[in-house]
Amino acid sequence: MKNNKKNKKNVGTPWERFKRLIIAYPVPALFIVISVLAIPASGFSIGYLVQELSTRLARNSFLVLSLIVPIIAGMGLNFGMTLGAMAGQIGLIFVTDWNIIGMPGLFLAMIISLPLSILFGYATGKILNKAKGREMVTGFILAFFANGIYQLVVLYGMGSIIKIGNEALVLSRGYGIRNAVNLVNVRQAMDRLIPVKFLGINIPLATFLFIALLCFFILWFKKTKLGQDMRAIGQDMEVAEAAGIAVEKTRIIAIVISTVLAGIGQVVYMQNMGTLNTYNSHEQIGMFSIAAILIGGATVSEAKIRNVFLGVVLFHLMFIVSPMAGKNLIGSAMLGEYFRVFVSYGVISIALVLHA
Amino acid sequence: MNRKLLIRSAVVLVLIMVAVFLFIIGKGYTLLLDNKDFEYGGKTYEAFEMVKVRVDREEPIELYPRDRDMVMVSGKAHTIGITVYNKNYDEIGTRELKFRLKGKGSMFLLSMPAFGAELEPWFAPFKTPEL
Repeated sequence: MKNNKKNKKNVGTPWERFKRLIIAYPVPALFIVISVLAIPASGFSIGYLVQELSTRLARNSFLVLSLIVPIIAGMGLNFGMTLGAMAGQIGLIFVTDWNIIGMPGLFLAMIISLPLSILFGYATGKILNKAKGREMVTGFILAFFANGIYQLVVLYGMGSIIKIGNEALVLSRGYGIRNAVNLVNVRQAMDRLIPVKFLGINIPLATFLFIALLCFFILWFKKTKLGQDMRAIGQDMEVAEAAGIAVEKTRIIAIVISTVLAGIGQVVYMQNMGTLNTYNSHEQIGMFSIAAILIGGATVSEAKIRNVFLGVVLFHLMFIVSPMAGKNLIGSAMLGEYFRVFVSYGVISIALVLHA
Repeated sequence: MNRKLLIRSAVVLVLIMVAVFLFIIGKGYTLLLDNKDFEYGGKTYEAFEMVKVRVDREEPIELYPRDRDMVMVSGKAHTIGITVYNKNYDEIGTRELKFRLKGKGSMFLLSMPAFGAELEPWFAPFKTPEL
């Protein structure tokens, strides 16, 4: 059977095989075409683009990888990963307040985010179980609701109920965290842990090793009983239930794992950025991560690790070249930026129309 | 059920212990390296003409009279080494010491003349003056 499938893929002329590939992966194909046109128009050198992509791959891949587990479990794209990002940010606020520096600070922020992520993930999973078949839109709205609670805690709770010792973090009124928190204590702690330079390109090796660890975890997890249960649920919930799989409990576990990974991913993301925009950093994370994995060829029911890396590369290539390409072609960088935003949201729509 | 609870409790305990360990070894302190005249026991220990200070594996810092520089470190145990020079930039002395920060606060003032004279105490917690 497998050999027949492989043979079927190789049947036909190269042009026919190419056409089949484009039809199978229309979104990445579209992005490759746009990138091929936009790169020369932007005027950026290949060296600059490779450096930028290396940095952005290290920054974003962990977050995007966190989306794979719920897709396996048939829960679609986890828009609720924003809640995990909030947990990661709360961990970073505490670590900055306590002045814990370097890698110990990062790991401590991840540990602090764990119980919060588990709690948020559990609550999200419970709600998504009540909205079977409508998980994505429920997760999307839940993220907005959670944002309100996050802002309530961070804007009013911290400094008043939750003691914040570092006065530089607190607003002048005496409570509430400032809009921008300087993460000087942990800035690029992971990126610079094992500094490697290859052909003039700085490669954050430690971050990539951390991401590789997650990739191995996902590959191993898919082979475990729990991973196989999730696949079964993803294929057919009723059949899985009939086979004796605790469907609701397993779905909750999938969302908890995704939320925990998103929390850790947000810590990795923020250590690269170096500055925490307390009320904004987490807002676009869900949308951009989902856009990236869809651009990489994933669907709402199937996602592989290669989709993550391809998607991050293509999506962020767009990020880098669009403003300059817009400026060189049209005379306005704003139009290029508008084009990038338009394409980013458009690709999610296209992917959902094609595969949802 | 009991075994599951036991394992989960053990995992939580290990995580808490790791968190406490990370807190202790990662706690940041600001060390103010001071090369100003130091008064102790009715005697004045003059600032060095030039002193190179090395804290742990950080880059050496050059200090001239009345200079003050700072270095951020993590944890309480550190190594400090100084190389003292005269006006002609001839090396006239060195000293290296492993020490442990004592006292409350996250900022400490380290006096290089006091350190060079092997005085105790040569460092103390520093609190920024309130305006």
